[in-house]
Amino acid sequence: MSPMLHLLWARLVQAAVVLLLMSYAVYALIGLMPGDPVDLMVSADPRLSSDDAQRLKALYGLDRPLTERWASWLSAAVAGDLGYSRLYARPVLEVLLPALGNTLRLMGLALLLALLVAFVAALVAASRPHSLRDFLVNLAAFAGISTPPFWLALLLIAVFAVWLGVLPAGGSGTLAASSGSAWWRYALLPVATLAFASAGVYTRYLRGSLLEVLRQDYIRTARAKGAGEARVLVRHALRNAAIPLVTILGLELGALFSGALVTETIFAWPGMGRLIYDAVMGNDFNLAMVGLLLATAVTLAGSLLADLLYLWLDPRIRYR
Amino acid sequence: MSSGVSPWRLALIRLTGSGLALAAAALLACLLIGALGAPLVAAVLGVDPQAIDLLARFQPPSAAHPLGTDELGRDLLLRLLYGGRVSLLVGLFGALGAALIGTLVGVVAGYAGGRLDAFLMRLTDAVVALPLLPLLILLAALDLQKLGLSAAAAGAESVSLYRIALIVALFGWTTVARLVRGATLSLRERDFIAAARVLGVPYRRIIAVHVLPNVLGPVVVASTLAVGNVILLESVLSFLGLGVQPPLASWGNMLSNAQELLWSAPRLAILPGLMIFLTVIGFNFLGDRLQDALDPRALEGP
Repeated sequence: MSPMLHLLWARLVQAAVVLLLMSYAVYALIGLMPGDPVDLMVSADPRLSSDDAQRLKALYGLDRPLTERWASWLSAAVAGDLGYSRLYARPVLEVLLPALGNTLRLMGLALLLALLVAFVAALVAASRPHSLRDFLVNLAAFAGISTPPFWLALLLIAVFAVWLGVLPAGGSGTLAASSGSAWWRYALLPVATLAFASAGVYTRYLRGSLLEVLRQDYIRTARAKGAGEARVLVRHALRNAAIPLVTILGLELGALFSGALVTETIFAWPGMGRLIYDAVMGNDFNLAMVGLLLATAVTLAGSLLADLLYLWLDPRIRYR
Repeated sequence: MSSGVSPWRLALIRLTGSGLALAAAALLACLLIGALGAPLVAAVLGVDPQAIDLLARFQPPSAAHPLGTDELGRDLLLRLLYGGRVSLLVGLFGALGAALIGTLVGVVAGYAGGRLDAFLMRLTDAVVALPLLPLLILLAALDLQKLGLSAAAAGAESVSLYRIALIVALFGWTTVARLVRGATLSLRERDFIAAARVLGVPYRRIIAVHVLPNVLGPVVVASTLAVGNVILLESVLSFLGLGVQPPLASWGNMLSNAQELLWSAPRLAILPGLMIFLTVIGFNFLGDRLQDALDPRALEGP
């Protein structure tokens, strides 16, 4: 277990360094966004003169150099003070944490759906390589990775909410939940939108990995023993082919979060991606800053988890 | 396989033997011709692509407007063609920038090895792990005047276009870097590189003459795939109102209002997305086939 601990330690240090660098970069970038907090106050209150504005800037330390301001932000953040959201007039964590829960639910469901689709599709394709069905699965996978997510969302809304009228076009079902109606109806379209692209990526990867595994000696042994084709495919091949997929899952988490941002924006799903977008558009500097760092922390944690899972699944590396 | 055929020629032979690659190439050629010929189409139709005509909103297809008009009475066909110019331009520039950065990082990491290699690869890992879209949104929202650009330069119409290409290139280089590093690592151990080193050829020259031409294959494949990705990202950003700014048409920003138009004019919500889809899938197919065609291990031919 020692290499696992070693890796865990190294990756934690690395993640901390990335987060620290990100916090500086994002802090600097947010300073370059249009407008500044004092100007926003001035524009909201016509009685403030330019002298007042100068005094306010000095009061809040906005006239100090960038690195100094970042250092004081960091020390406050470490002490637990992450500031208030301008748009929601509440501490940013109070705004972000429930949204993070919603985003993780959306991402988790989409990941499950994408994996389910990918396993079935890859098995269908790899069971008869270079056949018509292999070609069709490949075509569908390419369509998955090539479809603009917001367009897919629009098409789904057009079909299921506008023409058929069977599913809601947006929202998260908070009202529906309190009145006892099914929340999953609100999740169906966003989850499907988000899962579509990922399913394409995973299918292509899993198919390649399956074809490679199917060439191995132990597959021939299994067939020689008289194991049925379904058993060979699922029990012998798929289990081994799925292991490298774990690495891809870790790498794709950032992409999944990006997809979640688009999906949440269109379906009015109260998640973190939409919150970050609104914060950037609405000059909510604190919310944008902490939201971006939280999103980074989530994807870093996800890829770390994937690495550990990989070690756990593949004993050859664990006991090296 | 005859030994007189160069790898690139071999790749071309394999590519032309693949129906899918040919279909993708034909599709992309059509899109390119359409984009390049947009002013010609405008001249033939006698319609100004930017002209707003509020009396002719949501017109159905007609002789004057082959695909009808949009919510401001502008010709949809022309907007699609001009949008294609923007999307292809951003896609090609963005992918080119990403390929340049990626090749530089990959060759340096692979050839230098050691600590520099470890650092550059950790950096690549970190960039891959970042939640890309929120960062791009932040970068796209920056005030260029605070970066020292004059108000006129920051407000120029084409600035939003190059800025998107640049931003996307800043984060899109990781795949190229990984592929190039891998190829460089194995090249470094080959005899002809060792021979060049022993002969005292300076490392810059070794990289320029011996390494770069041999890593071109993976660079071309990754760049082709990157064009599709860049176009996809540009469309998302433009859709969110942060990419290419109106009145400049891009397929993404043409869909910004599509959500409200789904009921009244589904045409306007479907066609721009279809164009993005076709372009991206074209580049993805081409890149994928190119990868197979350039793979020296797949020697059995098409």
